Amino acid sequence: MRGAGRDLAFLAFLALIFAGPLAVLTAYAFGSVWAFPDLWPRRFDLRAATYVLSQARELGASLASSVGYSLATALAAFVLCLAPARVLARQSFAGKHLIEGLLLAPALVPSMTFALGAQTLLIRLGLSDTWPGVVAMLTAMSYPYMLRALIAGHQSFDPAYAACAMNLGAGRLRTLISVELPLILPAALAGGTVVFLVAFSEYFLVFLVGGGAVPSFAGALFPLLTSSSHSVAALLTLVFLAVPLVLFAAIELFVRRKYRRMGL
Amino acid sequence: MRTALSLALLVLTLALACSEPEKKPEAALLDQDFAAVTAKAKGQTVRWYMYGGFAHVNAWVDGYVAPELKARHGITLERVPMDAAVFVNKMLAEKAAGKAEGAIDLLWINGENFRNTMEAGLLFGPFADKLPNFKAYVDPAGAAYDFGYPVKGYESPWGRAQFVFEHDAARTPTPPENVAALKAWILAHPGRFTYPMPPDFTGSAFIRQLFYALTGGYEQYMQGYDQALFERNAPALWAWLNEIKPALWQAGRSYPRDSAALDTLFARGEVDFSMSYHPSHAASKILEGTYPATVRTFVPTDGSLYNTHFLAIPANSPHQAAAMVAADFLLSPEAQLAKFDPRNWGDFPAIDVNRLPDDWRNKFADQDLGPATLTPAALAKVAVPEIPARYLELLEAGWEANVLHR
Repeated sequence: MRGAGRDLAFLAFLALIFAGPLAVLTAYAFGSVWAFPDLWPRRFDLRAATYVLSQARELGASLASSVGYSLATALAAFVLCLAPARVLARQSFAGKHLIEGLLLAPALVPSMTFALGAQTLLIRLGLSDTWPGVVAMLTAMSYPYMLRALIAGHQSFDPAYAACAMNLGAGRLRTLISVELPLILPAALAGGTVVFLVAFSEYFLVFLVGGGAVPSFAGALFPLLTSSSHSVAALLTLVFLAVPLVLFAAIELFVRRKYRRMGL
Repeated sequence: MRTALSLALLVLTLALACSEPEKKPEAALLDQDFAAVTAKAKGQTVRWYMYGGFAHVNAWVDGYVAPELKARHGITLERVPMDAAVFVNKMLAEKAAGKAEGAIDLLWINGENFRNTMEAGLLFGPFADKLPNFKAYVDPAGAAYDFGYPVKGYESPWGRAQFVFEHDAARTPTPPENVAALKAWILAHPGRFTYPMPPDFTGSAFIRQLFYALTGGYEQYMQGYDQALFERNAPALWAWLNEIKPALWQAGRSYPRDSAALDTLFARGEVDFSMSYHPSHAASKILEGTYPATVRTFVPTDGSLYNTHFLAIPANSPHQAAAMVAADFLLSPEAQLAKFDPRNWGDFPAIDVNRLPDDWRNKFADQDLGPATLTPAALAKVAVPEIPARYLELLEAGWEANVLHR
């Protein structure tokens, strides 16, 4: 009984810190003229929603672009980290910790620091203001999250699975696709989720490298956040929140079905 | 291991690199007549980099300018929201790396950002006097200087703005009418006034305007920078600002970081005045639902700053012809009138309305600006020009040393 009460209190606390800000955002999105000492906005209307709908095409394009390059970044980080994660998880060699530490550095160094230098490089390579340039830059910044997740993923299952498959005559590629990838999938999704979020919410790097030629949702949102157009900014922030939520729900559904089919 | 990884990264990067064919900029564009420029512009895409924090301006550009350009000239307009300081940095970085073709075709630019891009040789021109609407309707003297820096045809004007104070008539029925009355009001109502901290655009304009009013008018500063004059006059401004400081919001320990922060304080009722360099800003905020409908604007009788805001075309823009056509369209009576409509934006015309044919002049005269915006005549009566940029920089730096850290 006492435990249940504590659980309830904890749930209420969670609701307050997670749903509370959402309630305020919703009030801002649909409320007009909210001044002291009013507890509630004086009016509720659909002005912000009308504006967002009138901009549906531009905002939709920037949203699609943001989701696109963020997914591509997650995929690129996965491809990039798969082999190194396996080596770092399974083998020990001199200087391993040093290398691991160095490889994680981009997550610790402020992105601005290397972005300005890297921008010059990307301009020379002809990659600035292009989609591949944005993905390359975001990948270089966010791959450590994927690397960490994949190292942990590799450590979570016995290498004997792969050995068994090879004993039964499976080639390297077959072993990778049929045995190792399904086992690493949860870790890859966990890492991919973080990489996606980092890429999706990045504002400055995408502006610097994409230069406006690659539209981004954060780029459309940021000027409104720093202006005093609170309704529109609040509504777009809700959209901004919804995108990863929808994506995670879809992934969750996909993974559960996949595992059910595999009998796990 | 690490080398292998970096090698893999490099290969990936190179594989992804789709090298664009280098295009030579056409020097002859400025020698062609405008019909040829318009013909060449057809089918091009103009990427317009502009401040993105005015939701209504964004909506007007996307909902009016873009479809009109498409229908009239077959030009596709893409609006890119980016602060001027950011795109200036981007252009400087591109220049340093030797990039021949940029992504930017048109800029909304002003003041020191114009001077910086101009001095770095980043702009295309002189193009303004090639635009038919510029030749027909713009008063060249009114658009010859941007913050005291000669424009020389490298910018075309597209709007005018003037500094106004905003108050809620329901809370503050009789606002102070000049700088002396403002000071008395602030001292009598502690905690109810503040201003955005310079170098914020609006906060900086506020202290420039005070500087004129407290030191005997703007005329003495118009002949370029004079250090002795500045050193003689600046202390009066610092003294005034320090005297009101204890009576400001938060007792002057902190200032709103930009004009949007001040607008928010004002909208929430934490202070009784806001200020804007856009005379119709309050009207837009009322329409947007941020301000109550009782908000009005006023200008001090001892002078309010006005300026012209401009468009420029980067030297490495890939679509200069279309950018010129877009700049010309924005100066057309149709576009200027649409921009003047407070339901769209309410920005004042950059063209000289007296040069228009009668029917157009009447349309401008008949435009209802709403109760929150002052009439052009009321604004013109107290308008004072911007100060040369060197004074501006010294005032901003001086404010930090003599007021903020005092």
